[in-house]
Amino acid sequence: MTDISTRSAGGGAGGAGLSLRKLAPAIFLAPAILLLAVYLLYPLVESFRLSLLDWNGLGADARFVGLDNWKKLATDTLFWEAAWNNILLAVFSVVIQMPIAVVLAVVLDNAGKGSRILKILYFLPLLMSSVALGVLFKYFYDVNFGPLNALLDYVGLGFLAQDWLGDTRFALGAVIAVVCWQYIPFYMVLFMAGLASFPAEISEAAKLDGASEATIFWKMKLPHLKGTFRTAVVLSVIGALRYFDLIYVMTGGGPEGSSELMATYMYRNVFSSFQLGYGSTVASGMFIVVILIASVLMRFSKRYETEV
Amino acid sequence: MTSITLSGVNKSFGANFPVIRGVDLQIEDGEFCVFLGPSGCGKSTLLRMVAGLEMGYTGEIRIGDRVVDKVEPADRQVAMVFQNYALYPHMSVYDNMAFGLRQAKTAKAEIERRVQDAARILQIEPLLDRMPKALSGGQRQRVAIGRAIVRQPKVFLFDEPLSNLDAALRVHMRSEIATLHRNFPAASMIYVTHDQTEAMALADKIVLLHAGKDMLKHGSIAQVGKPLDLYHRPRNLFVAGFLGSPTMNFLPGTFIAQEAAGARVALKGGEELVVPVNGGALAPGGAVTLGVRPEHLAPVAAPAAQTLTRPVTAVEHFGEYSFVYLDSGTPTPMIAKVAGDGGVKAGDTASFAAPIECCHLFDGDGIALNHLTSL
Amino acid sequence: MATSPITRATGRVAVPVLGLFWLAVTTVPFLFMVMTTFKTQQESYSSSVWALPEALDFVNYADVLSGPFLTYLKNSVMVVVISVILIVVISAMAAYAFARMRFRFNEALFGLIVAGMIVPIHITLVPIYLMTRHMGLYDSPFALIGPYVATSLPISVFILTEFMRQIPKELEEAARLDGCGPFAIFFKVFFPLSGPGLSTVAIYNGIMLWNEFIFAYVLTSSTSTRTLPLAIWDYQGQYTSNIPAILAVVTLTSLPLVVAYAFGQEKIVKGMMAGSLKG
Repeated sequence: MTDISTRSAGGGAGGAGLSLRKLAPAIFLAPAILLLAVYLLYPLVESFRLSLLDWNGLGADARFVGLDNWKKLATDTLFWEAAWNNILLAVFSVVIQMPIAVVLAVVLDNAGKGSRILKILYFLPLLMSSVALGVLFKYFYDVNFGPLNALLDYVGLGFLAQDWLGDTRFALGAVIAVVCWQYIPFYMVLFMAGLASFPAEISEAAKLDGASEATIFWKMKLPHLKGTFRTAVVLSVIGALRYFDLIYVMTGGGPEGSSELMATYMYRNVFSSFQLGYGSTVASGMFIVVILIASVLMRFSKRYETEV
Repeated sequence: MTSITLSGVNKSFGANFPVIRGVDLQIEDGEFCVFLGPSGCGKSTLLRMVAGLEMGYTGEIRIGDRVVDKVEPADRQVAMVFQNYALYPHMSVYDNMAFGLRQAKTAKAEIERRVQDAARILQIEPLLDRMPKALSGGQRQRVAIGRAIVRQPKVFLFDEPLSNLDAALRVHMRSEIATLHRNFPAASMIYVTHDQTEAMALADKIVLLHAGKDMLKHGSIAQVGKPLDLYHRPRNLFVAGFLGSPTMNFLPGTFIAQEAAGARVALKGGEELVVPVNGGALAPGGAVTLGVRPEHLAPVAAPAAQTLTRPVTAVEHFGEYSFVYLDSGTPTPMIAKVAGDGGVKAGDTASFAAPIECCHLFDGDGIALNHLTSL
Repeated sequence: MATSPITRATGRVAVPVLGLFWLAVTTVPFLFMVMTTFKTQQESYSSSVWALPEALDFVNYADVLSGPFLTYLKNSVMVVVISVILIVVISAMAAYAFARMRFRFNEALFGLIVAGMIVPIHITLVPIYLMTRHMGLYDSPFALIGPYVATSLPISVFILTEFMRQIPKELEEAARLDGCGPFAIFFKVFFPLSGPGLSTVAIYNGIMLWNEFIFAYVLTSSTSTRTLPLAIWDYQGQYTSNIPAILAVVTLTSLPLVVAYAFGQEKIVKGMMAGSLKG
């Protein structure tokens, strides 16, 4: 072990090596930043620019109209009703999904050997595209040939049968039911992970202290899931505010706008009414609403950063 | 020429959080140097600065004749063994050892030869095809050492390499590292540890580092020297207290006068002792600290000159020897390490001789006073 | 011990009852779907919806497969494979920079990219539509790759950064001492060691993009360029009221993922939970 070294003594000193090291972060980040700039940041800014135009998207007849579109949006009851529907979707998503998901998580937690296979089967809806589910449930809800009404008939509840998607009173609810059906297993798995992280020694200690299983669940395991709840609520609300696919496929926002969401309203303005300017205003307005609600929500759940 | 020289080295984390202050240090060709100190003293940081992993310091580091402050780690001709081994989990033992050589475009046959040689030295030949996951802690540490050996570095750097091993294995690997040093006499080694036994057992030279306030006040280096120099001639209270187990007894007292045999000191308990140091600079009545190691206190039948007599508060028996805890009048008990069962029990009052040549004296600032005779 | 007999008894009954109830809720729509695909159009109107098909008739499947279905499938496979490869490589590179490199604005930039997760992609729809037309990519499956990769990056970078932060920094230092520059460290150490994180990202985005509808709907228009989710949409227009045929399309488009799921349920469940569960 004398002077045979892997590197020459003089080589590699300073210069080249260090400057490459300095440039490295830029090189590693360049592809991501480039793509995000082109396909996320630029469109975002561009959407706000388009929102100041009156333009059908085809010719060069785009006209700058300043804040006219925004004034229109502020008083556009259709937009605010759509936003309200988004909020309904968010609220009902949370209220319906969370309790059922917790119950199912507890059920699977106690199901022993069967829990694995049940979990796998429960999870199936999450693999489906919204278009597939939308089409499937459109027929499921069909007033004449749909299995839901047939099922109600069969169990003697025929009087409850409805034109689920064709009735302004039921359309939104019918879609919300499908959303919940699809996503409950997602939150169930989330809660299962939360329950699994509950330290076994604590429930053993509690049992020695004479606590019943029910007490352990209500007083210890449920509070332990607090962080998971926060994550679940944030995910579910943000998802609901951006929702599009299933509504578009199942009802197109109808009937009579009763199931319209911000995203479907935007889509209709742009691609059906060819109002690119106003459609962009709706999109930008939607962006503002989502960011506002999301940032309020994040403030109330600081754990988002670490858990999501 | 693989001496390592650190001149005027300082480092801070952030703007005003110094970790290394004023380090001037020379590590000789082929020397086994141990950086020793409590946690937070910057010993690992100092090592990593030599490795080139820690930049942004002031001062100068040379390896051999070359200033390496701007040299990439791989070009410094150093190899490092990490505390947690840092083996590449996705590579076999062979590939782990060969990786650096492949990066350096070494010829295949040469790689094969070096890896096989290292494996033979470390007795890990049967493990070459295994993945790190499948190895025990001791085996992993060997592979980590093997990875260092194959590079034939001029300097070996060890960062607390034995800390993750259990006690028995640690003693065994310690002797293997000593053997390694004998097998590669030309390479210098720097070894970081917080364990004074490791340092005493391995080092040609110990660099004991200050932490916290001491570092700010006196600079990072507390004392540099051969292990026994630090043991017998600690430069200050920190060094005296850091080396030795149980630690040196410190007894507060006052300086009376300088005599031919040394400084005469009065202790709180009333005894007067002579310590063979030059107390000429001390003012009579000035506060001093007497230091005497537990293993140097010898039981005597009755109080006499140069003895300490105290009530026994507890005795711990270890068979071969015992620790006798004595009420020193301060919150920290005085400890005597005596042969066999010590012949005393709690509640007794016992006397111990403090041989003059084994006594140390520290001034009011904690600095050791110079001995009148050299060792 | 302390559990009362009543609670335990309810538990013993409630667990299987609830478990099977939700199993029914989950599977009934699928049963309806698969069962209907074997019926003729006539049969779907005349017989009860819950009646078994008269014969196990694959005529609807044959009918669908004789059409352009395989073109949709080919487009989907191509777009998803290319996109996922790009997503994995690009987000792993960015994640490595965020997890391991010190540079100005590291945290700010990371925060900005992660914030991209909550941006509703619909705001990008019109500008991307115009941009795509401008670039001459409109009505090409390749038009989808840019938006797909970009919209997948925020969550992928987030997942992989978290993952790479767990890789001990000593491995990187050992690699530096072994002579690796930043690129060798990334490709020879970090990329191979991020396997589980990379597969999570690949699975998550693969499924999301396989099912993606809106960009595909807006950026392509002909049968020859569209992906599978659009197959359902297009067939629906074509078959109008032939429910069994349409559900056969739905079944066929869902089949690839179900088959994949049969081979790696745990991995897919974990991948789909990506970003909400750690790892």
